[in-house]
Amino acid sequence: MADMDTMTLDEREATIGGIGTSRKRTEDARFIRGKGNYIDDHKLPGMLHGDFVRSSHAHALIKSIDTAAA
Amino acid sequence: MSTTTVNLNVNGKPVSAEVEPRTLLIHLLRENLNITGPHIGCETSHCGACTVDLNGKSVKSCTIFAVQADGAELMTVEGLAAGGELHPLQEGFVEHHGLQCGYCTPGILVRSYRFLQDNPNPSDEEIRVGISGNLCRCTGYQNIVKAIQYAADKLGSKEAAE
Repeated sequence: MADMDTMTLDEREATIGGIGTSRKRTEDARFIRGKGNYIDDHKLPGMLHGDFVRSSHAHALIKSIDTAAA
Repeated sequence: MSTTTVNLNVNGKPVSAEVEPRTLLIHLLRENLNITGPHIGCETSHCGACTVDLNGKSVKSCTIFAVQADGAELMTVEGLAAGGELHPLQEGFVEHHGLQCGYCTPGILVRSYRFLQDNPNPSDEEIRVGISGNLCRCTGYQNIVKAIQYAADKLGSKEAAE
């Protein structure tokens, strides 16, 4: 192995790695298997779901909010 | 709303589920069957993150009702790795950095699988057209194309060897 002080980038890539060399990602293993565990993939006991209720009026005063359906 | 039973084969395993007629296939997969590989990316049928392989065709599972998959053979990204061994497509995506956040990746993998079945020797341009139903916000597609070419080569030489 060449002297550490005089190694070229290619030599370093082939041996010790470090600054300037490529690294394989560790997260790909689960992403390509569909095990990404993104937020919506989580299922927790007692979990609630949120949704946005948009106003049907462009300009109005909220007089009351009826949460019965929710 | 009344429910009905759907029976289908998912990644080689028979499943049965009670669904409403309005239930989308993507929700059957993600909510009822806990198969979370296919993702919901857009709610408009544009992005392809929900792509599955239904009876030998690439299908956006957000645009199909679960009841339409009754009696079907379905494959999701979880079904690509046969017996624990990665599919050449999955290898290619790792080797050629074909993913960053990974959200579009299951859909692209499943679409590429069917694409290569139909066109085992594609040009780069054919690949780009072939996966044009799948959007990726991270990569710019260059490495995705390289990854698919890698898989096409590997599958081609595997076939030649058999």
